[in-house]
Amino acid sequence: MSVEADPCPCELEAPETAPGAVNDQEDLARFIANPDEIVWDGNSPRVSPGSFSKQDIRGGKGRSISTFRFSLTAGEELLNRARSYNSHPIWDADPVISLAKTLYLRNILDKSGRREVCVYAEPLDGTDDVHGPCASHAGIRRSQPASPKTQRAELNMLRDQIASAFGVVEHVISRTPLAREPE
Amino acid sequence: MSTIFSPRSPSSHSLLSFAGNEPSKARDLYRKEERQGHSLRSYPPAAGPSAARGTSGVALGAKPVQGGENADRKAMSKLENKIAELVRSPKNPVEQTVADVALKVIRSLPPGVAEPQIKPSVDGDIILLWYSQGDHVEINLDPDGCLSWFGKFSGVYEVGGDTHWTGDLPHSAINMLHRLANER
Repeated sequence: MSVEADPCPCELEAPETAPGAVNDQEDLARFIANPDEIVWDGNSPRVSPGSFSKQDIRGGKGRSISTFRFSLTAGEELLNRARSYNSHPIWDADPVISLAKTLYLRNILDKSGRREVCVYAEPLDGTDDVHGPCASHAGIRRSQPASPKTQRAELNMLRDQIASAFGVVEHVISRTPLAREPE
Repeated sequence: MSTIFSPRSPSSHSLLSFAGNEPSKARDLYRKEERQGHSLRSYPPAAGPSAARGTSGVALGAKPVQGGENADRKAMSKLENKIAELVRSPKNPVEQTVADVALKVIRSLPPGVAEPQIKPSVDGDIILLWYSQGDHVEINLDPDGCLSWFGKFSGVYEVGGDTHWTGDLPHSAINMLHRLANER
């Protein structure tokens, strides 16, 4: 993996309301709603690829994979949003998030060595959001022009690569790794 | 809300604000990697040493051994219930038609293949996943009845293919499942 990713122009530009462009070293947080969004490799939790919409990955019509810049988002805001997103009663007191290193996402390449996704500052203006605006929101979407994927398996594979980048799955408050619940 | 519009320096960010009265829970977030024992070079972290080898499932379709048929039936029943749950749950946009294909795929799994993890997707797909120490095989069932598959072996992704369900699991998908099973 490269130590530094070649930036895409959209990643260098940040809206005025954002606290700057997203740095390679930043962690991106994504909320986990319930155990259906988790897969297990032995006792290690992984984010299920199914929690990512292929339409969000394609990025058309203003869509993107929604994430929060971990070090720039107030802890209280992160917790409130995580609680609001959570739908699993057992996690109510200490909801679950996953974290991805920006660099890892930016280093996902296609067969020709081209970047697959961009990670960029995407502040929320608060429209239709009970939590109001959030400057430290970041989006992930396919780099444009996207390399053609003639097989569905290829797009599903990219979805899996994105999911795999969220390699840390832990509780928000205790920061303890998610433990497997008995079935 | 003004604070969220101000860039926070790394040193000022802590979890104290929501760690209640337990300052010990506040962490230096920028040292998280060290704490978890991995660095960028190994990110994302591989399955830990405590991870059990392979999936924990019962092999489906395996030749009946002592109690084998019962175990098989029980495993199949569990998977069928899981798929029925996905359709019933208002949280998931999974349609019965996809569930029907998923059931057929599961019933066609060859002997020796462990039971998959079954997950819904926000797009209405059903995903069947088999994991083994970082390697995995995924079979995705789209709402239109198309199935597609790929594998990841020794960290390298391999595209399988996609097709409409014709009654048999494609050889390429079966080969990937056998490879994964043989690695266990």
